[in-house]
Amino acid sequence: MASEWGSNSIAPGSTAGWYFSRPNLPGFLPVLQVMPLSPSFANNDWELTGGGYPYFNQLGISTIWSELSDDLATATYYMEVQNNSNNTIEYAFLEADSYGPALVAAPTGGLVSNSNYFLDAGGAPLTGVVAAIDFSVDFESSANGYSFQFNCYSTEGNAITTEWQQYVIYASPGSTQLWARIDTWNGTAAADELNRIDQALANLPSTTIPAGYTFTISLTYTNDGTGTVTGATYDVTDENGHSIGSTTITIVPHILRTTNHPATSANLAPIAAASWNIGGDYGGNTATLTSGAGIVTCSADNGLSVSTNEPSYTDFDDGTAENANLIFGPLAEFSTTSVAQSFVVTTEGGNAPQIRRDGRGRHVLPAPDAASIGTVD
Amino acid sequence: MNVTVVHDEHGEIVSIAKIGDLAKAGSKFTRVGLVPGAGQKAVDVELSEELAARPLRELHAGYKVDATSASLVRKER
Repeated sequence: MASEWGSNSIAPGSTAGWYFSRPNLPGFLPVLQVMPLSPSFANNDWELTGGGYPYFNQLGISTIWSELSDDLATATYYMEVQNNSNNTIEYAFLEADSYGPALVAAPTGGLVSNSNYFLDAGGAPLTGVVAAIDFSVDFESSANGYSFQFNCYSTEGNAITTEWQQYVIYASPGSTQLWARIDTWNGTAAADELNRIDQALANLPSTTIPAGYTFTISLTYTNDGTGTVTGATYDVTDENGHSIGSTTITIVPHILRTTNHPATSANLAPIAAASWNIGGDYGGNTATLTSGAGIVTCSADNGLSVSTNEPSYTDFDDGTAENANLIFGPLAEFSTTSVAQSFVVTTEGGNAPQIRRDGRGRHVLPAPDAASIGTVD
Repeated sequence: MNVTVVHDEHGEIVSIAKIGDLAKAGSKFTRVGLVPGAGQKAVDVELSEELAARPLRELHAGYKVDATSASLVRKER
């Protein structure tokens, strides 16, 4: 049932602009209409505007425009009420909103830099995964560079020794060089690092990532149908869709840090969950971001669901340490093959980092070294 | 009673809004208001008991906005 509220008036031949604000809720559909409370004394003539838009000589409304606030917290809708009659009309609003699925609760650490939702498919290996970052606003860091981390949690099993797989694009402070990184782990201790592989990805025109750029990480797989991840292809395209860099990393046969032997297929694993994080470059650094907004996406062959916490069927029980003054938008309970989530740099509090408050560990992405960038074996 | 009045550069009333308590009325919006267009201004006006009791359309017909005092004044006949 619609709710009726307000008592308003509008002069003949006039247009009144309105705004309607509420907390941001994905899937919320505002349904608004005007209900005349006084007669228009008009004869229902209708005409076309010069642009071909039809209108009656009565009370009417425009389409609805919408705006998301800079902090992702508030959605504001705009609508015009038009009185095309020759008399003042009094009116109320009728509101019969429609809702999509409920919001997924945010992690206890909030939806911030190194604390975000998990995407999963009920424990099944995620296949065909493509993760991307689309920048709608210039992305700038004034301290500690930045890293875009697509952190993946392996399936469990007796043959699974790789518990965490980090697919990362990062840049060091003041550098225009983007690096692609794969870091794999068989536990949460620093000594549990299996592979740390860095490859040059692209050279930016400046230290700023321009609006319109897209970073893409496409996971690669074995062809045995198990969903085992073999590595990833990294791409950077500019605002015109032109490639400015691409590289592919395969985990096998890079040297394992735990044994000094080449990685084999035994060091690969399918992933059952993933989480986007954006923080400082590495080493647990906190980036100071001065600008940036966009959308992170994850597509897969599976139907992806959104979870508050790391699923019980993964075994890493940790998250990344790198941090930044950045927040993610909320997501609703759905199952879809492509999930898109807003992110925005927040400068409230003087670029203070977003502190994760839950009890999870803080797993450091190690700095690059000669072994990781391939200058020594 | 407090209302929002949008008026043109001559003080002619374009629109009047009495929004009331949104939550009590069942609205899911937390803030609602008028957005003045080009050449328009919005003012909050405290209506006297007498004016508050009259239909809004009568205010359009008989009053205009005095921008300096943010109040409604009778139109000259």
